[in-house]
Amino acid sequence: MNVRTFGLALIATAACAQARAAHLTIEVSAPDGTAARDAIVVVDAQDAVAGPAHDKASVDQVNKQFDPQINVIRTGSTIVFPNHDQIHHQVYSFSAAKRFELDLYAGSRNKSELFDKPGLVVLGCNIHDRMLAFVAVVDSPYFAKLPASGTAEFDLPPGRYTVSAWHPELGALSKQPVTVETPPARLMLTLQAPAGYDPVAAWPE
Amino acid sequence: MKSMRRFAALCAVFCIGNPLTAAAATTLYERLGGAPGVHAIADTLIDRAAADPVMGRSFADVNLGRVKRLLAEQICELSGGPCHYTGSPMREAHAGLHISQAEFYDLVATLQHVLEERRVPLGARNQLLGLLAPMKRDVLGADAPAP
Repeated sequence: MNVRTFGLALIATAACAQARAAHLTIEVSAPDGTAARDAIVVVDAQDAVAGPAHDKASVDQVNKQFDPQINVIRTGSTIVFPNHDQIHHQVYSFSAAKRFELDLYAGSRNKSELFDKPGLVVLGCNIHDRMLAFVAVVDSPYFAKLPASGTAEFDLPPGRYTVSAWHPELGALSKQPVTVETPPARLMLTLQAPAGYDPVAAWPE
Repeated sequence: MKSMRRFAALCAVFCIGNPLTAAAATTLYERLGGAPGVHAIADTLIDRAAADPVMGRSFADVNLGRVKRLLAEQICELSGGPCHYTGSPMREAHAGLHISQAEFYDLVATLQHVLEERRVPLGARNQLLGLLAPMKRDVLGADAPAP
């Protein structure tokens, strides 16, 4: 095998490794052992950087509440803020990752904001101070907001990753290492919020 | 000559003490008590409206501190004080609340009581109500399509 052929073979092997998907299951529990529903999990590759996404999401205002109240999007995504109430809302964020203020009237359906920096964004309404929502903006393409089962499934290239989990009340875990190969990997995490848990400061990404 | 002097003395007393002359010399803002007076009026009015069994519905879950601050700004600006109202236009602020005529007049009556308790002179009370009265159209008509 000459050097050139060897080089091609190496590239082919690398391409195969890229195409081969491994499976990772993440299961997150609350301190009492129940499923950590609505927790956000993010799987970060240790050496890969994904480009920005151009996804679209929606955070509605219904009966003086945000819906959904917990959100996760990729950096570069846009969120539209439809107001389904007949009253005026004024949605704002003072978070470093995204500062904005939107006047939303009855029938406001199309006002949107671009989230182009990673971080945790806390949404409020100037008029109704009990309205609260979180938008986690993440660089990784591998993330989930956990359903009632508290588990998320990922197909991703074999390799070494870190996994972070976060919930506004239940606690947070930062960058737990996991190696994903074949056979499928399973990572089980248990959240434990310390006394005086500050969900904003605890954002692990 | 003696009577002339007496008239001059009387006039001096009368003219200085004349409430109309005094009113013209101070702004409505000052007669409402300046910044502390205007803030106290706004705070008390909003607290009472929010606690009222009928009017209170419009203040459910509302950030009352913000409403008080904006109302104080609005009264300050309207009465000639050094403020600029930074809130939404009245029509937009009241949209979807379906304020009734009875609720509007309840708020006016509550404001009257607050002003009386604070011993705001009658002329100043009437002047302030006169400045606020034109807002009725936007407050009640907030749910009609914008003109």
